[in-house]
Amino acid sequence: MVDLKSVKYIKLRIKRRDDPKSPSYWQDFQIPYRPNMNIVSVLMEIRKNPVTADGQTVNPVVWECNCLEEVCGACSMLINGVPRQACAALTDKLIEKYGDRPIQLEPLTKFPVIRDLMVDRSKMFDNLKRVHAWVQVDGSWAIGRGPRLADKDQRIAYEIAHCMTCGCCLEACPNYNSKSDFVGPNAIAQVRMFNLHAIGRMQAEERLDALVAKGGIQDCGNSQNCKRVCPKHINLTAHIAAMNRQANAYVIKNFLDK
Amino acid sequence: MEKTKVVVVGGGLAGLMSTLKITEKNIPVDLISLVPVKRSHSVCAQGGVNAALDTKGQHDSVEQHFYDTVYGGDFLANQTPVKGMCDNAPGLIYAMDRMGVMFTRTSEGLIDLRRFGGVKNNRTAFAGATTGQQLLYTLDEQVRRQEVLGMVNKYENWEMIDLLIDDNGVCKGVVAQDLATMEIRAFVADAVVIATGGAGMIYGRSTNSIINTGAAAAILYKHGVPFANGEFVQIHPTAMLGDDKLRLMSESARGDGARIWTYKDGKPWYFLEERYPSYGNLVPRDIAAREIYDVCVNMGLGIDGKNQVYLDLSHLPADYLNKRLKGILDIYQTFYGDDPRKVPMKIFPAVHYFMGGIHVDWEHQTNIPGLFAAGECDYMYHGANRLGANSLLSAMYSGTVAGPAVVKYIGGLQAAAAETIGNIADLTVKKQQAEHDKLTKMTGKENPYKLHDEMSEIMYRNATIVRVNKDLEETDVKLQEFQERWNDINITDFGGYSNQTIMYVRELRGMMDLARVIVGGALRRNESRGSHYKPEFPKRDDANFLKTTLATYKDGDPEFSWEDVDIQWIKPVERKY
Amino acid sequence: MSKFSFFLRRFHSLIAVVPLGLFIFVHFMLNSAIFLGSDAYVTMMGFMRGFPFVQVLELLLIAIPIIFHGIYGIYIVYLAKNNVLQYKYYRNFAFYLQRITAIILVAFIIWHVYTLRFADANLAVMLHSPLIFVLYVIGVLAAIYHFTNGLFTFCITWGICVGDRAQKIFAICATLLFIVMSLWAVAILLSLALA
Repeated sequence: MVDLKSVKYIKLRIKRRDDPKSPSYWQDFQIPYRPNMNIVSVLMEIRKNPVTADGQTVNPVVWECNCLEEVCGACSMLINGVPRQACAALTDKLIEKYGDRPIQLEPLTKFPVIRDLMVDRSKMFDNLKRVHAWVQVDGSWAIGRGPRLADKDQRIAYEIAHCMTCGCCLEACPNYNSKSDFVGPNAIAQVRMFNLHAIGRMQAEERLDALVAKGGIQDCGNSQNCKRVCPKHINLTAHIAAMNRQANAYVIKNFLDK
Repeated sequence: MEKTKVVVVGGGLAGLMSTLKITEKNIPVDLISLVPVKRSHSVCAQGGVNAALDTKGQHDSVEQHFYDTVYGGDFLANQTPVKGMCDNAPGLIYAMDRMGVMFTRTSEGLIDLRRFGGVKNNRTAFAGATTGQQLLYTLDEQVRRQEVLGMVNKYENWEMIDLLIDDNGVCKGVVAQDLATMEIRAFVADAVVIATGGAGMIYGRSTNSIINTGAAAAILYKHGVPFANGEFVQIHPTAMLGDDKLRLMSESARGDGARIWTYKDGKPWYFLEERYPSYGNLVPRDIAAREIYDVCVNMGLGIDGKNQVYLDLSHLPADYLNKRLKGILDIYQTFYGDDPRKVPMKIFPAVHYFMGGIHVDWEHQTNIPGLFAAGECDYMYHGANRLGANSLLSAMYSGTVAGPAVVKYIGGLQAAAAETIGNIADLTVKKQQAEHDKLTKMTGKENPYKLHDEMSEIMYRNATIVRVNKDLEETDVKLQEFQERWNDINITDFGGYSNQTIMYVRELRGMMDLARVIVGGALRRNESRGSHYKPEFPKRDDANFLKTTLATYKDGDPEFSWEDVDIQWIKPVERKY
Repeated sequence: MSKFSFFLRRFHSLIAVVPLGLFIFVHFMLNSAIFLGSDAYVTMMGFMRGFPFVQVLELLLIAIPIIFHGIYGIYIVYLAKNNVLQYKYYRNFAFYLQRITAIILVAFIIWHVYTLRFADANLAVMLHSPLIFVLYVIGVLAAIYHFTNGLFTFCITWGICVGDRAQKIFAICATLLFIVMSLWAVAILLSLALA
């Protein structure tokens, strides 16, 4: 373990790219050590003085962030190769774990890069459309009390409802890549949530149809990386297994009923 | 008549609710948002949303909710809109429940209710300690469904940079910029809803998200829309200390049993419980924040001699805490390291919410026809102090008012904006393009981020919990200096793609305008009311200041005027807890 | 048909257990005759070869399922973008190993079937060569790993075990099965080589 008292600089090695069409390149930065920083606050320091470690003035680093408390999902990036939220990546802990060497920042690799550490994750939102991730109410008007929901079901659904569409699970999933159109662990888990809701359940079969279509739940290969990297600790593999049960039962029942 | 269309700017609760209400009436919406709407700041709201569901056998009522809200706001809120909000809250919560919000449940499957500040009944529906996230996601899902139905076009990662106002002073759309390609274009619309949230970034570090700069509100202000009650900025009593952000530790912690204390004479001192025996730790936020400030700054009794006190729930069972508060406990543990289930949290007050905002009528229309505002960016429901868990309510409720008001407004139009806009759109785009080009060439000496730091530091020092006229005057002078120095900014980023600094510099200018509104309003309000506290004028002064402050932009400066408050339902009385 | 890939993938999973998984057990049982001596082994093999409809059964219950499982399996291997160096988690290694053993098995099974079923070689004699013995150990252990780990993921794929605790218990069972079957297989190979 590194003694933080001996650390003089927080060093970063950042993979940059000027726009989607340009090639990427690496740059090193360092800022004077301060305790209790995180990757976002370090990047904010850099933009106040955008000079590389070898003294060259450059354009400030571009990245996405918003809430800074790990609930909005914006600031996903690869930090020393691990996809996670930059705001919750505390520099002291990184230095203790990886030593004094530069902390390496890269954009997520499964999504198109916009600039520097910023990527386009709109495909994740499209996947939510694919699985009909909503409750099909007649309208938003007030017509009285909603359905009751058992506490035990709420607990399962509430865990899933924390998914902030940050993309870490897809980044780590070996089966989510350019060769497949796998819908991904997060979208599969969302279906479980909607199928637990008394009104949502009425469209359960529409969602299951989507899950057994091309690129559906069958593309999961059980590497279980998704669960390991999920910043919200959502038990994605259990939710996928539960949806396997629902999907199989649905397909068999569907076959026998028709 | 060409097909009508509405532009909604902002994809938080208010923007999404407005969008939903408008699309449900078959009017398509262009939804413009700085971030993917699912990442909007509503996601940060934690403790819950108020509605007198009265499921706890306490004889709670919408009348009591109304009274608590008006009383908690120190009688500065217009009462009729507040009454509408409280009356409609239960129906709204039940509608959200039907849409799939995973509210925490009682053993018989009903929505559970917790207690919140300034209230004696359990009136706050909640989803653990991530209620804002859950409500936002549910509306996001509903709007996504409208998107699939072809009713919504989302423009995410776009920033509104100007309004389209025709020669008759009617709003006919907006000009916005794509934050990736930097393309600037007009969005012509028959009506525009601004739902862009608060402006905590004026203070640099706050409980707010990075995008809460108030820049959109500042654009309206510069177009002549008054900014109302700017001086009323809520300071949340319990936030974590942090380098980059003061992370909120929800009031629901206290609602669920947490206690605030510090050491006095070597023994734990529960000063809120001692000073306010009736409400204890659940006094309204302005009072709790002032007391913590008093104990730390005036009495010097902060923990370890620093400005911090304990927020303690270590006496509560861990499974109870995990069910109800896991969201915030995880945040504390992630960012501070200690497990709040075992050791007390260290907290201090932080800038949290703007009670003030864009001046609108009771249907959320501004003084510019066709231009509406809803959510935290308006000024409507909270008066001088907002009660906890009323913000999620007002955000959604204002959307349910603004949406139908837009539909009604469009129904009365003679011709579609697209037919009557003329060359206004082209001219405004050209003007903004020229502005943008000028920004790209700024090569002065000031680093915009450092300039912002300087501004927020002085704002934090002089325009938060305790306000002194001399300091406010000095701050206003300083702010004008900052406005001057803004012209000497160095843009630092000379990239032509996804240039965040250009956007930031533009926003910084808006923040400076609003900062002057805050300070100017505070300076002129010589009384103490709700969150606005002046030791020189420690009493509320209804004779002179039971009025809404209006700041109107005039030749670069705010011009102040005052407007009477609607008090037709509840007679103002002294506010004591 | 939109569910086609779902059916294929589920079929691929199902036949791996029935009949192929069952066949592995039968295969091991029959080979265990070597523990009773080479005479018993030869008798058993002779009995099996003379079983009525053996070729039809071999074709339907073994050959076709294996060929389908192998070909579709290679496609599955192709689909993955492995990342064990980046994500050093146990299950991710298992995922990778499942695909590595898949490749090994394609080669091993072709060789195994060709030499013993079509070229009529004598395995006991072949195993006298240390190289072939080692290759056989690798091939058989790969098969057992692929089977036992596959059995665990089968339980998830079919929604049999869902929760953490259930998954953990099933994973432990699969590991124990792997150990038992590996010892069993090595014992058979050793006995054959020494026979």
